[in-house]
Amino acid sequence: MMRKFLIKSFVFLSLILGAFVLLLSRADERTDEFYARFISPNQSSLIIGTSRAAQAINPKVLNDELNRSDIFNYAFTNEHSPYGPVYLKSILAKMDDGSRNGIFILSVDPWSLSADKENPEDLSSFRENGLMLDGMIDVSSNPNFFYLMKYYDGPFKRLLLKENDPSLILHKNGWLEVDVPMDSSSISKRTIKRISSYRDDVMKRSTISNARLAFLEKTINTLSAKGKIFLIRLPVCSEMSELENDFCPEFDSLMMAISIRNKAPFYAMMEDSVEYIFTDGNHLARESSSVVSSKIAEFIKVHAK
Amino acid sequence: MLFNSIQYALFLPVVFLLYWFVFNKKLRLQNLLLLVSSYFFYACWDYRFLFLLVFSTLLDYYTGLKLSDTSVKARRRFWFWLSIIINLGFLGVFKYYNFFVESFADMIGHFGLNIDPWTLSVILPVGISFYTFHGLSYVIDIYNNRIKAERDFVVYSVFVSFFPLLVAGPIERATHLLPQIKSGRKFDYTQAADGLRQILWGLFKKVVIADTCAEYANIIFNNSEQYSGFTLVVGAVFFAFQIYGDFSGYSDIALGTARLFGIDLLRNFAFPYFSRDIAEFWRRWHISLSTWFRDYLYVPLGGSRGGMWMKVRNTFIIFIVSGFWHGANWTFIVWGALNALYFLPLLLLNKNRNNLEIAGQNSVFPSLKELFQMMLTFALTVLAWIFFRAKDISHAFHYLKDLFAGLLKKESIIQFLNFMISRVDKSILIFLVFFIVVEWIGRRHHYAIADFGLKRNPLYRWCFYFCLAMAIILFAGKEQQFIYFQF
Repeated sequence: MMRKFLIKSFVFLSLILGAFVLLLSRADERTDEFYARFISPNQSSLIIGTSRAAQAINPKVLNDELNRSDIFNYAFTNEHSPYGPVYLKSILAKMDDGSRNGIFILSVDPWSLSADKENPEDLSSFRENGLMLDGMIDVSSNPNFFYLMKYYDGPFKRLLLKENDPSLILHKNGWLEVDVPMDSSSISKRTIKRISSYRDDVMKRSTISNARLAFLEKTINTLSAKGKIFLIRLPVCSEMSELENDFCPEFDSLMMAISIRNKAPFYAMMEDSVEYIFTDGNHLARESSSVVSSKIAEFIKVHAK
Repeated sequence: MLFNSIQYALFLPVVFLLYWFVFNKKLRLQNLLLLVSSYFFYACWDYRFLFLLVFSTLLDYYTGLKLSDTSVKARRRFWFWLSIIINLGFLGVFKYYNFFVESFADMIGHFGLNIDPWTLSVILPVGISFYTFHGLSYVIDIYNNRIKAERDFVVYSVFVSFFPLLVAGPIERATHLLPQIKSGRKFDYTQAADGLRQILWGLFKKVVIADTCAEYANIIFNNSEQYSGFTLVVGAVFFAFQIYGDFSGYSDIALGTARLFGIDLLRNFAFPYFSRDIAEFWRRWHISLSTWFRDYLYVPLGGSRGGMWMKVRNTFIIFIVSGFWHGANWTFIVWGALNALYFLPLLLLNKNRNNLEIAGQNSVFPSLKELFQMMLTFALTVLAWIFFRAKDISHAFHYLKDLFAGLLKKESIIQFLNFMISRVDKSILIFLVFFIVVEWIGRRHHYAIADFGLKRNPLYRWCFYFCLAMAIILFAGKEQQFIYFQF
């Protein structure tokens, strides 16, 4: 009787498991705003940063202009991927071991180098601890069952029915294209909301962290062995720019010092802000992301020599 | 370790295989395995509170022996009260201390005396209300000479901490569970298969019904000031299904798990939303707690022996204490009192034992009268759930005020339609209908799908189970903690 029970249970569970694996195999780069970054193979050239970089720097433009095919956007969000031990560990996991001639574009801004005011130097209290990048050990498997089981946010019926968020299109190269209404009223609403959340919340509870700055340098040093490093401060709208200047007025000079110390060219793009369109003052609209990516490519061409 | 987690899906088969294949030669070894597994299961929540569980077990075990070994009344009374005071003391400190000191500070604040009460910042040890009640019933039964003390410490410890019932019941009785732990168990295919079936149905209730309803109930209750009328009604109805799916789903998984080990636990739910009056509802909802209060509080208080006044008083006491058992908040006390009020007319008219059989016992559909009675009872229950779910009394009253004020307003109806169309996933409505239909069809059994398709071709049955399992995988709501873990 026990034998019959075990066989029947095994058969039933195998059927369920088989169906579940088939279901998970339906996941693709459109599944959510992160998954594609964990199913691509290990990479030799990376775009690193937060959601600003995820939306602003389009690897296709860079690859086309630099005659390459290996640049991959591995930027996440301000919560998940500020500079620190968690992100560095994830970057290294994503790196191709044999890579030597890579290009690494490190997007920097005051928020990705800030931490909680209470204990900004305490690595154990960094906001990204325990979040997705901290938990992801395998970042290059297709399908990535671990990610789907642990971090996929939503009922699995969305995988079956391919119910994706139409406003977020994550490309195979890691670039996050955001398709939201771009009339002036919608932009204004989103900008007001974004600025106020930074002014009233993020700014009040954060300060620049020396530990994060040290990890930025550590990231540069680690990646230097694998290719050329470029530091980029991406453009934001004027209100956000003012806010960042209030938060850390010496940010550009701080970056310039790191740039000189580590021989990593720094490109501050804040001054051209009026030329671009933003979805919410903090993130570039897709039309402008091509222009910005193109400018970064020019900068790399000049400084890579 | 949640019942609906990957960890539990690994833990359960490992214990099952060890139990039947490695430790099956000796009963004592099987019991030891159950004890170690149960402590491991508990330690996965918070190992720091394991000492409390072990202490509570030791205390009641020792008290039981002392009560059995002496016939001197004074000594028996001493040991009995010592155990009661310590058990309730722990419960009082961890669960009710802050409530009492804060309520006291509030009360004297009304007289112009402001004090800053010293409160405890400890989390409530999971399952404390349940295992304390296990121990209490054991000691009371020995004191009243209903049972003899258990001398085997492992057997007694398994009775208190058997992992399926450890954190949220059912609240077992020594007379029911101890003999099963003490006697040899043989693997029974029918019982084990039935256990798996009950686990499957419990998971469906928890993961698909409760967790999905929770998302909408949370939206409405957490932002209730933005809603009115029918939207608030829907919020309360979603909560009614959430709490039923959550707790009865948990109980089904617990009972099903226990059956895999050859142990039958007490039934906790018997299709309460098909009740035709509140008295019937309370015979069908959280049965192990209701009967516990009946046997260890209502009867010792005099029960219904002392005339109508005594009956009414005792009824109010058990409902209010039962409400308070759920948590240290006035909302639970009002919820209990409101149910007592619902119960009162039935008691006064001596109609509280009118509906002893399930609705539609001998028919496929309920009669119109039964349907009306069921809907009325459900409506009353939903109204009471508002107090249970609200964050405080003032929130509950505002919720009710906005609910009734908006019922007939056009804007409120538009808001309700907008909410249902734009926020609510239609699949949950389909699942709710499916759930009610299956529960209705299976209402004469221990759980809804106990007999579902057993007489048909096994292929149909397997297809049904497969569809249930796929529904659990595909339509799982955002994982929510089992509600009763907080009690």
